[in-house]
Amino acid sequence: MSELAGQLGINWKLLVSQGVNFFVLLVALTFLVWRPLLRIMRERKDKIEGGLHDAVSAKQKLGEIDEVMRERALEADRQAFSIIRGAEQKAEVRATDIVHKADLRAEELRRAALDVIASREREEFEKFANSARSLVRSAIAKAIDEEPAKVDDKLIGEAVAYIRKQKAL
Amino acid sequence: MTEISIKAEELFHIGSFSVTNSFLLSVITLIVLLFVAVLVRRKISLIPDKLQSIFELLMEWLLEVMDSVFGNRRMSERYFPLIATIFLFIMISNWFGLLPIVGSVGLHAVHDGNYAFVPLLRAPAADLNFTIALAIIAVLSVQFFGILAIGFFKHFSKYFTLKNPIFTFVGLLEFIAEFVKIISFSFRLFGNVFAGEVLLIIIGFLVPYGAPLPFLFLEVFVGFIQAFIFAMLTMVFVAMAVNEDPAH
Repeated sequence: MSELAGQLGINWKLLVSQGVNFFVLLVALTFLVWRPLLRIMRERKDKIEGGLHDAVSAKQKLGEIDEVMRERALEADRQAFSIIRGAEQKAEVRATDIVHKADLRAEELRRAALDVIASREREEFEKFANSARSLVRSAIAKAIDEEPAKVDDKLIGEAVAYIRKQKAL
Repeated sequence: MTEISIKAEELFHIGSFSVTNSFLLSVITLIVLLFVAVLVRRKISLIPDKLQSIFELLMEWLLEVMDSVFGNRRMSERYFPLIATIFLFIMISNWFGLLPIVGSVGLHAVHDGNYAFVPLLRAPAADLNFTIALAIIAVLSVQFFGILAIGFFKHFSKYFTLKNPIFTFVGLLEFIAEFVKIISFSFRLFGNVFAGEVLLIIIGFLVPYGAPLPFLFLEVFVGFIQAFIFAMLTMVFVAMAVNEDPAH
C-alpha cells in the first residue's frame, strides 16, 4: 500500500499541506468575499423588492387618486352644468324682464312722441289758424274795401271755424 | 522532451517537508485568490464594480444551481462557501496549470535518481496529493454537515442499523461507498487534468506551432467542467446528508 502510495507520489505531509491551503482559502473567501457579497446581494434584493412593492402601492394610490379626481371632475361637471342651466334660466328671465321693460319704455316713448307730435300739430294748427284768420281778414277787407280793423270778428271767427271743420274732415 | 511523471517533482526541502512543483502552484493560486478576495472586500458596495460584478455573476449562477438541488435559497446560502470555494480553487488552479510558464520553465536536477528537466510549476490537480486532500475534505464536510443537520445518531444510522438485515447490508455498502467517494473524486479530477497535461505535452512535442491551440481551449473547458463536477457532486452529497428523508 505504502509502495503504491509512493509510486503515485502520495505524501501525507503534502496531503495535509494541500488541505491546509484549502482551509485557508475557504476561511478567507468565506469572510472576505462570500458572506459580505451574500449580505450585499440580499440587501440589494430587499431594496429592489421594497422598491417594487412601493411602486405597486404608489401605482395603487395613483389609481385611487385618479378615481377621486374623476369623481371630482364629474361632480364639477355636474355643478357646472347646473350653474350654467341656472344662469341660462336667470338670463332668460332677465331677458324677458328687460324686453318687457324695453317694451314699456318704448310704449312710453311712443306715447310721449305722440303727445309731442299732437302738441306740435296743435301749435302748427294754431299758427295756421292765426295766419288763415289774418288772410281771411285781409281778404274780407279787400272784398268790402273797408278797413281791416272794422271787419267783424264774429265773421272771421265763423270763417275760421268753417275752415277748421273742413280740415278736420 | 519533458519527462512525463505521475508524481509531482520535488523542487526543494524545508526541513523534512519537500516542496513539489504542484504544491508551489497551489500556493501561488492560493495567494492570487487571497489577493483578489482582499481587492473585492475593499471595494465592496451596493453598486458593484467590475470585479464585484464578476463575483456576483458567479455566485448568482452557483446559487441558482444549488437552489435546484437544495430547494430553497436559505439552505443554498448555508452550504455555499464550501461549494463555491471548491469550485473556484479547482477551476483557477486548473487554468493556472495551462499558463505557458507551467511545464516549460524549470531546472535540470536529479529526479528519481536520474538527471532530468524538472518543471518549476505543475497543475495542482495533476498531483494526487491535491485531489485526495480535496476529496477527503469534501467527504468529511458531507459527514460534518449531515451530523449538524440531523444529529450524530440519526446520521450514522444510515450506515449502521440492525432494524433489518437488508438495511444493515445496504448501510455497510453505503459506509464503504463513502471511502470509495474519496477515490472516485480524487482520481477523476487527477486523471482528467493529468491526461490533459500529457496531451498538451505530446501535441506540443509533435507539432509545436498552432496545433496545441485547440487542445488548450479544450483543456480550459475541461478545467472548468472538472471543477464544476467536483463541486456539484459535493453539493449533491451534502444535500443528501442533510436531508432527513431516508429515501434521499
